Amino acid sequence: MWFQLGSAALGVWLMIAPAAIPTSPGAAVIDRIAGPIAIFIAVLAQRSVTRPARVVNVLTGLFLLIAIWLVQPGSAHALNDVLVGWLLIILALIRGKVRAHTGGGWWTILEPDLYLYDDVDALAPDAQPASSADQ
Amino acid sequence: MREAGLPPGWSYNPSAWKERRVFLALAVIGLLAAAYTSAAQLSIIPAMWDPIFGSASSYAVTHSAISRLLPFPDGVLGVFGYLCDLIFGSLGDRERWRTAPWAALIFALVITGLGIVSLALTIAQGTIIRHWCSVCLVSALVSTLIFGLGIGEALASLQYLSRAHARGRSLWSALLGRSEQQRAEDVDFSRFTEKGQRLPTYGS
Repeated sequence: MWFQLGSAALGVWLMIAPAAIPTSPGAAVIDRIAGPIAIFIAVLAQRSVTRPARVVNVLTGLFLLIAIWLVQPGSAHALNDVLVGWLLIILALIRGKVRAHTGGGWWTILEPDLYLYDDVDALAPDAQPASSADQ
Repeated sequence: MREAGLPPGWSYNPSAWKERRVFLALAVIGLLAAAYTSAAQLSIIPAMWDPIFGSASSYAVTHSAISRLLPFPDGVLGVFGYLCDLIFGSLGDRERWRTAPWAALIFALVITGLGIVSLALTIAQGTIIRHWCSVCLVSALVSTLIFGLGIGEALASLQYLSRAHARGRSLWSALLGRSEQQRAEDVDFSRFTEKGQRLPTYGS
């Protein structure tokens, strides 16, 4: 959770950075693309159920590391983006605490684990019979 | 005792009102922001309040070429989106992941659409328009929060449909929540007997 909040904070910083440090128009564009994406993915990966989405921010970090050399950044801006890029990658790779259970996650849509959940399904307190024909 | 209405294998109920009222409250904030933006775009009010970037900056954003890509201003699209959000967020009971999967899934589509459009518009503000608009950013943040924190409910519904399909039930009736009527019979015939267990007896 804290790691994803860190990614979101880095995203906010990326949106502010072009106004706060010496920069070039091209470098500003890089930050203003990466910033909103970093926030979007960080919020998505905040909860246990969608935590796997954090890996997308590895790409956001790589984008920063690579794209900043395609424009002419000032040295301060280049240093900033390289640092933020690596931080985003590191934070995206840390899973953090997954507290909630979510029925096996997203892959179970393709392969429902019927054996595992048969009993849970049937013994749910809400599983009242609709008819009482056999009584 | 398990909390009532949990999807199998879940430690919380993603359709509970405790979850959904947060998203409904956020959607109301988004609706107000979008309505305010629309009012400025339709010249109902002369200028937008913008404590951070100034009204002129907001004006540049809300009257940009991108805001006029559709036949109507993009703020109106936001109003429509948040209204759908409120409608499909409210429909169904607290176990709608199985009693009304269609509502949960349409809600998921709506919040995904709002989230992605908001992300695109935020990037456009910084890169193409090169001006910012505080109220628009609030709306984008609201959409991002609703999508990011609310999309998990779709998983419970999709897992439910997937199990229904694997058990040979009609996907369509499961989607509409009709198969709930046959729930108890499904338990008797398809689940327990093949594992050689005794049938549960309810209410006798």
